[in-house]
Amino acid sequence: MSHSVRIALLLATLLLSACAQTSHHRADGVTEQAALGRGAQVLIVEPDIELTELLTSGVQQPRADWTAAAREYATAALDAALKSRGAQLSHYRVPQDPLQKEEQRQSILLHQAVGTSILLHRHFNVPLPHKGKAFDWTLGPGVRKLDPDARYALFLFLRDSYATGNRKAVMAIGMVFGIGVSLGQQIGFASLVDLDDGRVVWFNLLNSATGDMRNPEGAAASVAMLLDGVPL
Amino acid sequence: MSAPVVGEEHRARARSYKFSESPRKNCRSALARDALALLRTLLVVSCLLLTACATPTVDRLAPAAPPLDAASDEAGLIMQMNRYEEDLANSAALVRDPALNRYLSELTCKLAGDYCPEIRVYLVRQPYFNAQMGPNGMLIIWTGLLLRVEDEAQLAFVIGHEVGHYVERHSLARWLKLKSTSNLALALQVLGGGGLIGAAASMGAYGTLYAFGRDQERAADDYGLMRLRELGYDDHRAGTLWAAVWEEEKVRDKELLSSIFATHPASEERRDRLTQAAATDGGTLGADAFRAAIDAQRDEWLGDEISRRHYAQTEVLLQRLGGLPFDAAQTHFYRGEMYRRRAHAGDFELAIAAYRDAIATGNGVPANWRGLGLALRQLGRNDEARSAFDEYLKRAPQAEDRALIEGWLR
Repeated sequence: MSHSVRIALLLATLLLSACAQTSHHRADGVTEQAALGRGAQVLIVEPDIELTELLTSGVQQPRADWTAAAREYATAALDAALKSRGAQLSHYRVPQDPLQKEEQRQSILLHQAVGTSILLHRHFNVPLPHKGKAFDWTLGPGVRKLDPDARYALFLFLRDSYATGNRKAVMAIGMVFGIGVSLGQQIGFASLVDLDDGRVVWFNLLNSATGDMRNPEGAAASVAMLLDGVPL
Repeated sequence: MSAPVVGEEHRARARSYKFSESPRKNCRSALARDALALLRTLLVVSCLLLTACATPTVDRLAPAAPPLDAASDEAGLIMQMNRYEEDLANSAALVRDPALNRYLSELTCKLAGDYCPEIRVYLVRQPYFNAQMGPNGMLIIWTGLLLRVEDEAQLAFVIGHEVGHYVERHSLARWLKLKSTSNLALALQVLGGGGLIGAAASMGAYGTLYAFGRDQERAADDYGLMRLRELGYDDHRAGTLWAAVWEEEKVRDKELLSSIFATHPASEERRDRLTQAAATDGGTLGADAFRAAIDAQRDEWLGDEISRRHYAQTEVLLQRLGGLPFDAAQTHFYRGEMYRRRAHAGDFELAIAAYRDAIATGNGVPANWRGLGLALRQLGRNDEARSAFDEYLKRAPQAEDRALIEGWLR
């Protein structure tokens, strides 16, 4: 492969990965924007966010400071975005009662399991032979235990990494030698669950090489993309 | 990736675009390009080596230390471990028996001393010999470890060892070492041109990481021994525990134990080191207190042990437990279960003998006759099997498998 072809390929890869992509699904029967009606009561489950620093060698260093800031910014951005759509918001609080706490935690973990299954089987091209094209994922009616009043629960999951200066230098050299070096990746999903029956009514994947959750503006931009197509 | 990174990308792209524009037309620019690339490589490599050569030194943790800088490595590790702990605290794998948990917490508190308020114990139902300590003070003990420990002195050594990891901040030291090692490995790979030599050199670098882990284990062993002595336990029990672990390890499936890529010292080495270090004259064993604490759970753990299907190890373990003042009938019964399930030539005979040993203790647990009947049936000794099953159903009229067994008896 000639040098120029290699560079061209690399550039194409970079351009592809540099843009942010979202892709969402709605449950069968939920087609219209705002189909769930204005003023719907939505419970926001604490966003599951973790930010890491991508070190020169590719090791990901967890960053507690960035993570704490991102959780705060993301929650504020979610609030603003959903309020502007007319939703009534409440925030999940961990209860004192140990039994209730455990039950609710199980619901949250169940969502994690179902959410990652949707990612794997709907977005990452690992088809479930018997599932077909139906988008009929559900957590079951047990999720009502999360909140007695809210109609929907909104879950958000996000992992993001940011390269150090040295890592960027390595990427520059890697390009010369035709070696691709990643500078970090933002991947996340948001989902809306009907607390009456546990159905996942909407699910959106964000896959991006840009975006910065470490400041309020960046977090708001990422949250706006994460809410792409939300039927509220 | 952050906004400045995008800018960096654009700049990098522009640069490389220029490089590709006139590769051979102008010899001078090609030379300059190579020189520039070489310079940059050297810069990065020296940068990597600088961080790689700095051996991480981590101070011992002070009790009730002030909150960490949120941007620090340690705060990041603790954040991740806290998340894990939150899941663990609600896990179905957790053993929640209040009396046993109280016993473990109190013992841990004694061993942790000034660090007691910082450490939380979780007993996880896993049939393997293992305990772990997180940088956030989360201590995990697996039930397979409690099944193998003989007395409180041995358990105290294990917990003291884990407290040692916490106090010496081994998670952080290991993380820092991983960072510097991966930098060194990358530097070696870049210098080796990404070829086999570079790969081999970087493998060598990662090998040092495992040696680092073994050094930490030795340091934690020393801490455990120190605490044992300070609390008046018999410190010979640490070596005895590792001798027992080694006996089981010896009969492991024929896989060779690797010495470079083992993070823990080989059990044999550990046994010898601990045996030599033992210095107390007598000291507490706490055998009765320990047995009383685990007695109610032991039946379940023995069942889990057999379900591992590592029968050679289980055989060694049950032989050892059989020599201890635990419930003898229970140990005989599980020996029978183990042989019956392994089902090698001669095993059904061994199983029958074991069930009969259990019955001979006067223990009336119905499962003994069930196992006996099943083993006899496998050998075609149907008359004897029939009377064993009759006895089983007489003793357990509500047995779940009653219909199945009655079918056989017909």
